[in-house]
Amino acid sequence: MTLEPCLNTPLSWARTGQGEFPYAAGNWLIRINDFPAEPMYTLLVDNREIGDFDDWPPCWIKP
Amino acid sequence: MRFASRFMVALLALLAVSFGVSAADMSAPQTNSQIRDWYNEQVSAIPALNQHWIAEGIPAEQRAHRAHDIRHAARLKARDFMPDKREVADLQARDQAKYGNPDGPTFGMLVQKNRDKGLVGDAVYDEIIVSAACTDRATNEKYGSKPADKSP
Repeated sequence: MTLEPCLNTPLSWARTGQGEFPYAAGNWLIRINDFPAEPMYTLLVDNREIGDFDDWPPCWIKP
Repeated sequence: MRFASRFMVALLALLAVSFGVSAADMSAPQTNSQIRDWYNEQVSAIPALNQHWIAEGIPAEQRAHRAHDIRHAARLKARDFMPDKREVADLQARDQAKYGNPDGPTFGMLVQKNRDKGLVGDAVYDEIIVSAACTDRATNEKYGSKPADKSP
């Protein structure tokens, strides 16, 4: 699995209540990094890092 | 000549960060990736400034304070640039959970962290100066600041 197709997959995210991992959608998880020193977000699927990105994809809906 | 030019860039960056040039006063970055590029540019000035401070005979602790102040101000200014304030709130919640401070680690926390690593004397402060200028180079080289643009 690569990052690019994931960023283009329409998704609705739910809040987890965890500061460092604030959003989840099924087995997909978002980690917030030390932005701006690091990329804003990392996508994890099944606890495996898929990739980093800065800007929230327009087709992903935040809660 | 090259050093003088580099120093002038560093000095302008320091002035912009220190005196809070507003987003309206300059070409403000619009996206998070642009904001990260802006931030990387700000902190990249620190090594040249540090060399100037060393030449002036400023002690390591004071230089570390200055470097940390520049990095911290750039961090806050970068967050100020962010158009989506929900993302700023998410970052603050993350920093609160991780550091106990919504704006990231304080100078005192960094000193303690370095002492916990076994550093002593000026090495504690030199590490703060080096890390203040450190961007996530590995990630920047791997993905760039616009990973989606550079993916195959």
